[in-house]
Amino acid sequence: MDWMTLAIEITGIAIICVWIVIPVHEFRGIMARVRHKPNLADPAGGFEVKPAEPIDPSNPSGERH
Amino acid sequence: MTGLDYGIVISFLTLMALGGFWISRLIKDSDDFFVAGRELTPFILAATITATNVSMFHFVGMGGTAYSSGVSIIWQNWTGCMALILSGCFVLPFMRRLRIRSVPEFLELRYNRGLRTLVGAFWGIRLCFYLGLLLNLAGTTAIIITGWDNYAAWLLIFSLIAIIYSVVGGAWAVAIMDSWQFLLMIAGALIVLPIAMHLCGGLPKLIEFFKTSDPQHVQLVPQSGDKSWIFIFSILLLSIKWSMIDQAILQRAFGAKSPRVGAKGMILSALITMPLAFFWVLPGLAVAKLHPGKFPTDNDAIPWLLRTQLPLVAKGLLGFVLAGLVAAQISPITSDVNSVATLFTSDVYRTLKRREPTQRELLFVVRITSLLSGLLMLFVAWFLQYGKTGAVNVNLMIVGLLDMPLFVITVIYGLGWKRVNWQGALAGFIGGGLVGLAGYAIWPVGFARNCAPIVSGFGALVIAPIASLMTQHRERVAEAEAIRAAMNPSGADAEGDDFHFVPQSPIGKLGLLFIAIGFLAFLIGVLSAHWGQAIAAPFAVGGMLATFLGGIIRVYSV
Repeated sequence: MDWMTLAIEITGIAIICVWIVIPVHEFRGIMARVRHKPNLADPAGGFEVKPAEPIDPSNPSGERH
Repeated sequence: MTGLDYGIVISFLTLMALGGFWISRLIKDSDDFFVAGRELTPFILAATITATNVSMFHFVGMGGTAYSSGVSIIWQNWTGCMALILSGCFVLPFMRRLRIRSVPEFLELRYNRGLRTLVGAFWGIRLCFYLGLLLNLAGTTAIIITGWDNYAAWLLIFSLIAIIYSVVGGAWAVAIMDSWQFLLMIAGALIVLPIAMHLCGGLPKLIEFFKTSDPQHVQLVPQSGDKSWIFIFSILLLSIKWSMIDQAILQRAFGAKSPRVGAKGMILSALITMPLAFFWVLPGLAVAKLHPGKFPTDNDAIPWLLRTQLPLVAKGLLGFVLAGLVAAQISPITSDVNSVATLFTSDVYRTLKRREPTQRELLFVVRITSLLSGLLMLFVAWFLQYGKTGAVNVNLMIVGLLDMPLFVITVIYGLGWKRVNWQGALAGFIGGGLVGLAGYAIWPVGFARNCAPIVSGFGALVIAPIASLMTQHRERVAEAEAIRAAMNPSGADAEGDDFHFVPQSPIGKLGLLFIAIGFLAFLIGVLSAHWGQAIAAPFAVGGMLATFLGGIIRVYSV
């Protein structure tokens, strides 16, 4: 193999190596962060439940004006 | 193709489908589906942007053009890399800071909701059509490489797995599977290059061969010809437009963990794509020496090399390289399907609905639209087998007429001049397209098509401010302030990110200086080729490298 092709091949191999090692490390970090995120699309997975607001006696229907 | 080759491709597709299903458990709300929960890190982002950008067209189309017109086609890729640097430093981080999911969403923030819905619907339909073209190229190329003449089967092979994991896994599946497909794609390219170079006696001898037989074939910035300096300059303009408003690219970058991470992802993607361009251009050059006779079309050159040479080297090699090509094609398909679904759900469905949909409703709609856009892509690809040339020309015409006006109203006036209002933006978008269309009535079709981006862009540049000045200006104070704050936050933003439009540190300013000088040197080099100057190639390449260096310094400094 000539030196020019060799240089291009080594660059390609280096890119593959770097892009295996670092993204795997980054992916582990992502998994650690998102694992405990609540599932908003699935009520069984845990919608955030807000406490009921007290009823205002002057506006019992709760309409906003 | 042997049974082993087919086995390798089928194994790869099965792994992709299983991976997509496994990743689907990360989808917990609509932002996970649209922008991968805005959790993407620099290297994963760079891989997914590169995989979205690089398709089978690069291997087959660019290799074929290198075969017929020479090495200067490499600028199609390199100008794209320079444009990614510019977008990563000057546009993407600020759009990311606004926490938008699509470019039309920015149009609502900047102008009004109607423009968002209009552009979102138009773009979604256009992308479906483009996806059909991508799929058609993949199917026809696979037939040439393998000799298995079953167009319908190839369409299903390329699209079914992509559609399934796009529907199930959304942007998460696209991002993570793109990273693996990106690696397989490079691995395939790593096999083809040394075989091609060995067959033609090595790269130095190949260059010597063309210097004596056809010097223009190895000129990086030719003075004349099909891919001359004019082509390089034109493709630079289109690349800048692409890197700053293309929904598929930007949506991946909107998934960045922070504005600075988005900028880093784009710069890293440019850095890795630049050397990779050699892998698909040089084999085309090798075929020009090995097969002096003409092929029916340029796109047949690389498939000929693969089909005739790889089986002679080792069993299974063709299957491995074909899996790399399939990977290269699946990643842009999945990215674009995800983008179409986002456009229809976020920019059309959501804006037309009277009440804000729930997360569950949004996820249902986005999955249905993913499926429908995939089916529409298959439908378009199926009919393209009966008349492809007309469809390609219509696509080029629409891109030429409407993409530059969109770039003008989004980036130039959207970020640069707040006096332009929604009436001006709408008039610029439609009027720019009509001005470009008028070119088709005046000039021959080929010339009009080449000039359409410049004419329509110029039309939008003129019409938008005139229409804005003729109509009432009602300043959208809160929105204008949000955009200003996104570009120049006082200190760190709400996410703790401190990336500014103008760098704060001397090192950051030095990076900006490198970008400016590099870009200027590149332009001097390209334009000097008009007079046949020897400095053309060194200035153009040196300028590009200086731009890259400036980009790295800029995103890694305050």
